[in-house]
Amino acid sequence: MQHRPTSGGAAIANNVHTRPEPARFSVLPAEQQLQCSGDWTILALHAVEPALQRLQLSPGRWLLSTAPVQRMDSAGALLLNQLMQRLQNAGVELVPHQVPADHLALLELTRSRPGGLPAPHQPPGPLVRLGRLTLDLLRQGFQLLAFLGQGTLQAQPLLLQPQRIRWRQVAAEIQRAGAAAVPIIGLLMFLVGVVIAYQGGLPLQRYGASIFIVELVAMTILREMGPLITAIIVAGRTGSSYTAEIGTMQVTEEVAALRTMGIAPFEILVLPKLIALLVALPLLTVFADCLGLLGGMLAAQSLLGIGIHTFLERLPAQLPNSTLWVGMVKTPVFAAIITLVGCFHGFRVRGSAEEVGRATTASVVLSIFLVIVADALFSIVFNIFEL
Amino acid sequence: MSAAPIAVHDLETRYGTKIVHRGLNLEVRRGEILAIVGDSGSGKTALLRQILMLERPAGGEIVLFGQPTRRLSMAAARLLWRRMGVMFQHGALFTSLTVLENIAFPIMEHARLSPRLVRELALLKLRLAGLPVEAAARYPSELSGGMIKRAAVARALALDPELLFLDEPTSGLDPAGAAAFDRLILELKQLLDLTVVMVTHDPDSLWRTADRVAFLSGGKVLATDTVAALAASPHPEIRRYFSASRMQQARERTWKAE
Repeated sequence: MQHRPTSGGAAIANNVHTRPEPARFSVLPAEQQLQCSGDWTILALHAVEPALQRLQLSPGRWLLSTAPVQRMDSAGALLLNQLMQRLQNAGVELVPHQVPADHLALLELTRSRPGGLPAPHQPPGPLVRLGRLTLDLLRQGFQLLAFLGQGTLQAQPLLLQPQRIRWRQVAAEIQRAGAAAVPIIGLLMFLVGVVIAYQGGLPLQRYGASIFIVELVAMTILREMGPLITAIIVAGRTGSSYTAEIGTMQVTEEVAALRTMGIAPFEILVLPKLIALLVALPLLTVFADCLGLLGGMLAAQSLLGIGIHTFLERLPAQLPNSTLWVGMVKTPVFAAIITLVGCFHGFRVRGSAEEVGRATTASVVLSIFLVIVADALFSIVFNIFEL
Repeated sequence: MSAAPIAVHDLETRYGTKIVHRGLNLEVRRGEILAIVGDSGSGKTALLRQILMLERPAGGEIVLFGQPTRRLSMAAARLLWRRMGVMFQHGALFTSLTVLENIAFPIMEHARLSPRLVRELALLKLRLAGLPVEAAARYPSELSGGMIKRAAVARALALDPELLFLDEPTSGLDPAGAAAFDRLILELKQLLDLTVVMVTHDPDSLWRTADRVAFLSGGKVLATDTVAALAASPHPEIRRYFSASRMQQARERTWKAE
């Protein structure tokens, strides 16, 4: 079989057929005729549409001729039909005169039938939207609580028989949520430590109290920054992927398939993630604390001239042990919030792929919000117990 | 008028080391409904994707409207695409758009018409595909399987193509729905002067709609003929395919209907 070159004569001849000729029309007042020519196809119509919309004819009987038209499709026929309709209202009767049979068939096909346009959607008013939003938030809150309760019920028998827990999957999740997040969390916390020492060091130096930078850095990082920043990064990194994963499974009906196999989706999709994050988040927080202290220590040395030795000696002497534990106690709670919110939003996905994206956003926003709320509550509780 | 809308010459297709087509020849005549049949894995869908210029053949040539497509510029390919409408197996409707917006989308992209006319055109196509006007404002996720197929056809017809491709048009439809859909295809072909190429597994649909059937096997078109002629073919593989009980029943049904 020989290959014809694309730019040969044959191809050019075909292109003539491919590229539409603009649609044209002319008004012949003497014959009371409207004559159309050119290609009346969808891609050639823009040449005449505005002019046809404005066309005015003297009232009476006019003849429509489409004989010179090379090609007509349903778009062309629809436009002609609209024209006839409009002119009829202005007292002009446009009668097909020289119209080939196939064009007549198209005109018949595209004649608009009663029914017409559906009413466009009326966007709801601001009050309605506020009400819907409120109800939606309340409903979401209830659903989250229900999800938590349902999960607890399903998890309880499993926790009594730990051999039934899918440990392999737990390990994989720890790797994914924990080990893979080490570099980014380390880098960020190091920088946070540097910034805290830098910003706090200058006022302290003015009062000649540079040495207190040790307490400042350690308290801030161990009690607040370490747990909080780690939780926020994990919520963005891992919580979102939980939502996307479960949401996609929801769209492809994999979750339904699990149910019909008699496997509780919670057991296989949520519990391993929950256990994994309960392990990974505290570990990540310890690592974050170390890197944060390191950053603060280096900044203190270069800015305030407080040596690493001094820093490390003062750290245990001046800070109670509780500083570390107060921070660490929060991390399992954060882990539970991130997993449950992420999975909850995943299970809420209904229908399309677009929903998955929306659910992911909602999940990250909600889990970060709840993490910060929980952190504030912890502060109040610790304050009461004077920790 | 012009050459055959589709001519496939000596097509070769390979996925890795797997050879799908070896020297496949096929010609589609203007104004016919050609069905491509064959066992699963015989390369029906691959052939469709090649003709649609979604994949480049490893060898051979596909000529669309007299134009060889092997080394086609993007602009030339685009012109060819505008003359073809495709209904994908699962509809491939854009989930974030309503049915009407789905149909209007290709028109908006290609034709420079007023929004009002585009809307009217989209509604026309919706009506032609046999969908109620109320379906216009719905999203694909709110449609039944049959309605999705119809909406997909309406979108495929948006630019008044000369060639309509249907990938398993009646799969997933109940028998009554499938019969109605076949009637729709026949009607649209008549009304809009279409050439239709369809890949199908549905024997009823084959007997009802196809003018000719191309039987794919071993990477080639084994035979192209009317359904009746193929069903009477002595070739063992074609015999096996058409003697499957479902095929027999379909044939009896069609005869009774006549």
